[in-house]
Amino acid sequence: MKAYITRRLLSIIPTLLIVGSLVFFVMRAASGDPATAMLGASATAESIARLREQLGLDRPLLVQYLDFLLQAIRGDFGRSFATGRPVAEQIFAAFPDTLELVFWGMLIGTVIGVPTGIVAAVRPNSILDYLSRFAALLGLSMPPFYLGILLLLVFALELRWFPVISTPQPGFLGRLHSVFLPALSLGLVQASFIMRMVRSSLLEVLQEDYIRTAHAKGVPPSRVHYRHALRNALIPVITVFGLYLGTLLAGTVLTETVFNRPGMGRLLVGAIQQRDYPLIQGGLMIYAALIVIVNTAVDIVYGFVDPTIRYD
Amino acid sequence: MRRFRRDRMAVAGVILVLLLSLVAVFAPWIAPYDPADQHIIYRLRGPSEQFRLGTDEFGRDVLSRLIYGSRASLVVGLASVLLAGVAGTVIGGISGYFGGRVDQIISSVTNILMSFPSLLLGLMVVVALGPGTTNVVIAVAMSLVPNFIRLARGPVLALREREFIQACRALGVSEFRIIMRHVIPNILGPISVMSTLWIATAIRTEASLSFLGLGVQPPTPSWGNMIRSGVNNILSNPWLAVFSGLAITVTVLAFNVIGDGLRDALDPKQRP
Repeated sequence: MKAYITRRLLSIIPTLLIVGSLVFFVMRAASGDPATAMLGASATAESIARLREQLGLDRPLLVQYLDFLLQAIRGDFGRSFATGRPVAEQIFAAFPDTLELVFWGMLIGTVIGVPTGIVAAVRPNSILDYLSRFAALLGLSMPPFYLGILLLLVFALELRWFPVISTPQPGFLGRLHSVFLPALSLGLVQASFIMRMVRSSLLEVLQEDYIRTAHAKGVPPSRVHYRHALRNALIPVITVFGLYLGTLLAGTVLTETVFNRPGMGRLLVGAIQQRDYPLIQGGLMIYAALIVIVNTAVDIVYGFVDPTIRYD
Repeated sequence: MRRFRRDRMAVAGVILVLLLSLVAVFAPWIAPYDPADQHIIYRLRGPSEQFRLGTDEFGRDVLSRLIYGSRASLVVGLASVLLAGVAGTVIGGISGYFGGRVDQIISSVTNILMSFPSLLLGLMVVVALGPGTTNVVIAVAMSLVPNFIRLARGPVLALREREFIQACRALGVSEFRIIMRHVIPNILGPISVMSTLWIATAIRTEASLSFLGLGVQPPTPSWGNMIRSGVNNILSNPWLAVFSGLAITVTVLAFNVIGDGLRDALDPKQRP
């Protein structure tokens, strides 16, 4: 078990290396020359050359690349073109707001998705099954930000129950009030994924021989469903949990834009619009790192949950 | 096929997609106005007799723009899936057929890319190439390629060991010919089924990128950039965002039910 965990943890390194390289070369392809981008089209050749030297852009690409990786390891992504502040500082300032959104979104998604998935699978082709399946299909078909717009229209603009611009308010209740609509819009979309996954996984398990055996030997149905079936059905759900969390994290980019909520997503989109390359680079790296870490964590949890998994 | 035809939802999806394609092709004949005509005194109006679905911030007819916008969504959806399908099948095929080191490298990079949400991959590519319709097609295709690679690799890996392929090899048929004539036709079934579902994903990703202002650029109407202007003007005319989002939802829903129907028809075990 220990060896398994160590190996999973060590695998983070090559993954982040590949992702880091991807981000670096994508950004170079994008910005062409960051110095020209920083100074704008009207800059003289001389001032561009001076800035290139200052930024170390006159060195060979390979050296720059290694330098970028070494700095990234230390959490140094350079300074933002727009504000001049360190990129890492700006990202970490925005991080808690995004984390808050992700947390509530995932909670809502799980709390709604898992039970509806169970109900749908235990009574297949019932009215409840059809309704929840259709709702889930609708959730999957909506663009992730559309639900947010509809919620905003109804609950913020019409009913005025929630703020239109969800800047986090002081105090726990204040925060909860401002995060509720964005989290609900993320969470409901998430619930659609989870519901479908739970349902199909549970349906499959319910057809297994050991379930028939349990029924035959007179175990009460609810005990069969929850003790025997659900435990096994949730294993594949946990595997894709990392994937769900990834989509949720990406979804915050859109949700934060719809609700005018501060956070990493808004920061990234703003940086892309302003061509603030160091900030884009840092933002993408942090998103990537978060996703890699979550996936590794899920893999490790999976090792604990599924006793049939081999650790070697 | 018979099983698919009995699936009423899926059939409705097919009809809807056909209708949409007709709307996209015959847009100039269906649209009541030119999508670029600015009726500036009627800016941001709600639905009325004159403008059935209202107008946008330049006084352009929303219904006409939605009709023309179907072109962008369908073109980006189909083109990106086609591009990703061809590239992914070839790469996945090579990976599965030759195995060894090549397979190891391709598989591990694919695994990493798979763990990234398509929106994030799409964003990365758009940042590199800049916004615009062609670049969005490439961006969306890039975000889908890992799926196709994985889908093609597995069956090819299994096929490689089958007798008829080994017989070809024994007869001296070239590797290229074996792949093109014998391997690829055998994996087209599952690939085309999943493609339908991924068209749905592609349309959603395009809408998301355009919504962020990084996709299809105005004045070309796309449902995504219409939602964007709808959100920017949500106080004066909420209908703009509502209708454009509805257009995307219905289209994606249609592709999703077709994909689900095809999958159930081919793999009846999944059905309760």
